[in-house]
Amino acid sequence: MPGQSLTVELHRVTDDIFRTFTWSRVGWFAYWGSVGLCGYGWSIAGLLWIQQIYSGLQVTGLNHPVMWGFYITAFVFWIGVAHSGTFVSAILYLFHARWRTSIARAAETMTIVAVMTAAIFPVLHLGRAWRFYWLIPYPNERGLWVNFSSPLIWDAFAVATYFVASVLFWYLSLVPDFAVVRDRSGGRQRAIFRRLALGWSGTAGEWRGFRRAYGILAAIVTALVVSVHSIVSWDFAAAIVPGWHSTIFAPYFVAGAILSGLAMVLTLVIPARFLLGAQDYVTVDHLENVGKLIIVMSLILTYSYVMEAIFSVRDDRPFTRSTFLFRVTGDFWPLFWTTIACVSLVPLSLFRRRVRRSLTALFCISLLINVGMWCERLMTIVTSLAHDFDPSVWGTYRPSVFEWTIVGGSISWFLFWYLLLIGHIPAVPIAETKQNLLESHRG
Amino acid sequence: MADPARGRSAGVLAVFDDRRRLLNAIHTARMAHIEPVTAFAPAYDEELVEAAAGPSRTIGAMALGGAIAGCIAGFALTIWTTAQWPTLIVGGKPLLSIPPFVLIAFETTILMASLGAVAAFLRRAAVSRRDSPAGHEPAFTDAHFGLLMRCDGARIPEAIELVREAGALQWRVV
Repeated sequence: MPGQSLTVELHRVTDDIFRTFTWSRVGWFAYWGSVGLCGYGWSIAGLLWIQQIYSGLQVTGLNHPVMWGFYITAFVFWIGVAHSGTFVSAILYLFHARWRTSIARAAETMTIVAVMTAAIFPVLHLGRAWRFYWLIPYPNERGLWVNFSSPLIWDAFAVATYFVASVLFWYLSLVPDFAVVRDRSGGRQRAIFRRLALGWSGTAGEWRGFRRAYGILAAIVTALVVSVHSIVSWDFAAAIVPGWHSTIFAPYFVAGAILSGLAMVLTLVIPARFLLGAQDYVTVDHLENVGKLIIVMSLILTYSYVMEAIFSVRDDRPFTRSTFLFRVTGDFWPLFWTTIACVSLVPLSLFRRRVRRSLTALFCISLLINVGMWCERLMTIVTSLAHDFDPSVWGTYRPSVFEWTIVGGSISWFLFWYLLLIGHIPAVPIAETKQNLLESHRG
Repeated sequence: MADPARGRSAGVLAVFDDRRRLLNAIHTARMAHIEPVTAFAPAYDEELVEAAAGPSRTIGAMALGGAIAGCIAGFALTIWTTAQWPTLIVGGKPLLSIPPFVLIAFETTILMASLGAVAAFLRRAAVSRRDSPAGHEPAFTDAHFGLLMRCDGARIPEAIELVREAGALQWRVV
C-alpha cells in the first residue's frame, strides 16, 4: 500500500513527540526537582529585592556617575537573548530553512521567557518600583508629561509589542499541536488541551488560514527583530556620551543579540534533547547549522569591534578615544578582553567541522559566548558612564551582593518559566515536522 | 446522524491513508457533481488546500486593516498627548516632533497588524468548523486524511461508492 509508509511515519512523529512530555517516574522527579530548584533560586533573589525596595538603591553599587549597572545590563542581555528565538523561528521560516523546525519551538519559548525576564529589570532598577506604571505611556492625564522623544518610552512600546507579537506567533504555531495532544489524551489533560486547541480539526480551510496567518506573523515579527534591539541600542546611542553616541550601535546590537540568542538556544537545546529523548528530531546536523550561524554573527560582531576601535582612535575629539582606551586598559579591562576572547576568538573554533559536531564543544562554546556577551553589555554601559567628558567626575562601579544575587536569580527565573512551558507543550513542532515529511514524500 | 432513507441533505465522511487517493476522490466527486465540503490533513499540504479550501483574503486584509489602524493610533496618541502641553519647553527641540513619533507609530502598526492577523485566523477557523460540524476524527490530527462531502440523502450510496472506489479506509454518513 503506497500510503501506508507515509501514515506509519506520520504516526511515529506523533508518538515520538507526544512522548517528549509524558514523563517517567525518574524524569518526573528530575523535572519537578529542577523547577523547584529554580523557583528557590529566584525566591532568594525576590527576598533581596524586597530588602532593596525597603532600603533604597543605596544597597546597590550604583553611584554617580555610574547610574546604570548590572540591572540595565541584564535588561539588554535578556532582550538580546530573546531575539534569536525570533530569528530562528521567523526569519529562517521565511527563508524556507527546513532544519529550523526541530529547534523552532525551543527558540520561540526562549524568546517569550527571555522577554519576561528582561521586562523585570527596568522595574528592579526603579527606586520606587510600585510606580512602574509610569513607564507605560498613556495620554497626559496625570501631568506626567510623557516624553515621546525619549528612547526609554520607545523601549516601553517596543518591548511590549515584541512580547505580544512573540506570544501570538508562538501560540499560533501551537494550535495544531494542541489538537494532536487533545486527540491523544484523556481526562483533565484533554479538557485543558481542548480549550487550548480552539476547536482545531485540521480542515483544509483551517490549514490555509493557519499558513497565511503564520506567514504574515513571521514577516511582522522579523521586522521586530531588527527594530526592537535597534531601539534598545538607541537608549545609549541617542545620548551624547562618548562610547555610546555612534551610528554603528543599532546593527551592532542586533548582531550581538542574535549571537547571544543562538548561543542560548544551544545551551538549552543540547541538554533538553537528551532529557526529552528528542535526539531523532533535534539532530547533530541541526545543531551544526546553529554553529555555522554563530560563526557568521561572531564575524559581524568582530567587524563591529574593529570599526568601533578605528572610529575611536581616529576621532578628532579626545573623549571617544579616551573612553576606548579606558575600556581596553582601565578599571574594566577584564571585561573588554573577556569579550574579545569569548565573542571573537572562541567561535572561530567552529570553523572546524569536528568542533561543530561535538555536542560537548558546542555546549561549552555557547556558555562562553553568553559570558562574553554579558561582559560586552556591561562594558559598554559602565565604562562610558564611568569615564565621561569631565575627568573631575570620573568614577567606577562595583556591583553589590544584591545585584549579583538578583541577576543570578534572573537566570533561575528564566529557567523556571522555560522548564514549566517546555515541559507542558510539544517541544518539537508536530504539525511542521509532519509537513516536512509530506513535502519530502511529494518530492 | 442523518438518515439517508429520509432524503434529507446529508454527507459522507471518508478516511484515507494516502493523500494521493484523497486528491483523486476530490476530483472524482467534483466530476460527479458531489460537492466536497472540506478535506482534513494532519499537516499543511499545499495541493490538498488548493483542491479543497476556498480562497482566503480575509487574513491579509485584516492584518493590513490592523496595520493602518495601529499607525493612525500611534500618531494620534503621540500628537494628541503632546498637544496637551503646548507651552512646555523641551531643551530647544520641537515639541511636536514627527521623527521620534514614527518609532512609536511603527510599533503600534506592528502590534495591531499581528492582532488583526490572529483575529482573522480565529474567525476563519471558526467559519471552517461551522461549515463542517460533524467532520472531526482524531485520526486526522494523527496520520490520516479525510474528506467530507455534502449531498442529498438519495445520493449517499453513490458518494459511498465513490470513496470506496477511491480507496478510502473507512467512511460514515454524517
